[in-house]
Amino acid sequence: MIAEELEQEQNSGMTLSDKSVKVDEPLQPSSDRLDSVGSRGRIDITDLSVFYGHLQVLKNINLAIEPHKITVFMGPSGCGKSTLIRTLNRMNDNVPGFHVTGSVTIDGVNIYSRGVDPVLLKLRVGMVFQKPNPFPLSIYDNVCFGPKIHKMTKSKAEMDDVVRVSLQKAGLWDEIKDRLKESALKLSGGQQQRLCIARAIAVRPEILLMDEPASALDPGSTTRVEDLMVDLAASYTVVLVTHNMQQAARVGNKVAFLYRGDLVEVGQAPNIFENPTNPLTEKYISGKLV
Amino acid sequence: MEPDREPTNSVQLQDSFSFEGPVRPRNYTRRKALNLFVKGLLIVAAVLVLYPVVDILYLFAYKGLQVISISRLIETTAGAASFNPHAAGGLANAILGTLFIVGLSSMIAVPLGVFGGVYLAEFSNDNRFSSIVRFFADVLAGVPSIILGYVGFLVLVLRFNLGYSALGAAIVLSVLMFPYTVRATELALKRVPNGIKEGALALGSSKTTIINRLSLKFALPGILTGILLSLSISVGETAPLLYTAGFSDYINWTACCHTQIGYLTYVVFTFYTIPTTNAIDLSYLATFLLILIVLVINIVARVGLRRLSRDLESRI
Repeated sequence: MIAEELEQEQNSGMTLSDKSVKVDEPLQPSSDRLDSVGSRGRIDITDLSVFYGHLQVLKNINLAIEPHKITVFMGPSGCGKSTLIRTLNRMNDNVPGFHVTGSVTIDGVNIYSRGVDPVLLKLRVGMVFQKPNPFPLSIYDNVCFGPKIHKMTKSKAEMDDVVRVSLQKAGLWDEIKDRLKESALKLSGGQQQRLCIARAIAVRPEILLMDEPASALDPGSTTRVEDLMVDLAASYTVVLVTHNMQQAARVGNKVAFLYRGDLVEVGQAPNIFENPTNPLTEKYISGKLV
Repeated sequence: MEPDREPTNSVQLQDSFSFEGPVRPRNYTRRKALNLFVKGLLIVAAVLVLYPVVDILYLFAYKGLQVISISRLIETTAGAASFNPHAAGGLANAILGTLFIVGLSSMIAVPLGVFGGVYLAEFSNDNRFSSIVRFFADVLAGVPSIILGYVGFLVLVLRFNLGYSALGAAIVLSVLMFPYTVRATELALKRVPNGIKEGALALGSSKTTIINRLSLKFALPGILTGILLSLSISVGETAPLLYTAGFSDYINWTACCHTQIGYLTYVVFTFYTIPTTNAIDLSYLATFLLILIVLVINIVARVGLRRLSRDLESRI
């Protein structure tokens, strides 16, 4: 139902100013939002350059990120992939000297335009970090942190539902449903990371940014998180940063290879690894690029 | 044997010493002796540091327990310092006065200090203004308290016409406490892991929400430690109070103005010069009570807060 409405909205040819209002609209709490997002959550990056002071970290990036797909940013350390993903939800705003040229639009609205509130933007674009960062609160309070500060639920029962569904979607519910009141810091690293994913999706974002979410995890937990990413792509636009090529190949739909701030090559997942067109990509894939 | 298995090694080593007998560097004895000497020196230094504290605690506990009595805790100093050999009296006015002044001053210094610390840690972005504030806070912590007292006398007692009063004393003491509460709050907030703040930011929290719901909770033990430290310093202050509080032999709950108030350090400072047994006894008792208060505050800070921070890490 909501999905249909959202789709209509998409096709109705609204003007930019109309839509910038939509970016700022508070999310309506509705229990089925967790499961249906529709085709919202398309990101278009146009001529994007990012600077820290005088240092140009990203150069003229052009990229389309589609809903319900996993888009992977891959490249060696320092290539700008983390900066790029953090630019998509304005996490870099507080970095001294940070500024952008070009545009990043989400569903047609430039997120760096003046009318956009970075706080409301982050409600639509969730993020999971490299190192699991659960709050020093109970498991339950971790998941309900977002919905609570945004007053998204009307009753305790509704909040319980949000927590349960979020944990279920993060594949953690069965393991911890009896210990919701325990400290989140008692969980293992892999469980903590899935808790962080649950926490991110509890505010019902449309886009999920994952900045090397498995690089601090053991192989078993990595597999679980990767499976989870594939599941999540059914409802969310997933953007993944990784320097693990096997991971990019396993879960990615679209892979973007960055090198020293340039977007070198974009390709569909199996192709780019088998037939890279750019010699730099080939060097990186064969492990010869330092 | 050995030489066959490692020919090169043994040839090299044979120059300095043989494989037979215990391996013993030539300067072994000297090294050993030096080691012992330095160790001894360190122990002596540690004992010298410890000695005054133990001596003070012993002397004043010994004297204090000799002179303590219920009547001396519930009576006031009115008439206690007279030359009448049968003079009686206690410290009730001084004990309550000290607690009143310190309580009043922490009501000013704690909120201001915590807000100032939050500003420095979270909102200043380390700009020029914040480094100036930080510098002056550090300088303020080093200003001799008698100078603060004199400034308090000129500004509060005379200029603002508060007269000798608990309020004037509390304001001067709060200036004294301020650097400790500000810096403790700032440092405690800066120790909050960045990952946690980023996680909350990514959920669409505003800065205030992050500070309210996560950072302050995390920093609480550090902030409380700073507050308690500043409390124990202000309990023992004498000079600023001499200039601003005056002294009163009676129990007085008036904060403002032109109403003098008693406090323990005044008794320590003046009563021992009065040649009557009772006055000197009260001066010993006041010292004992001051040490007791400071000791209790420090024990609470160390034991209580350690438990609190451990709880924070394990439970919530």
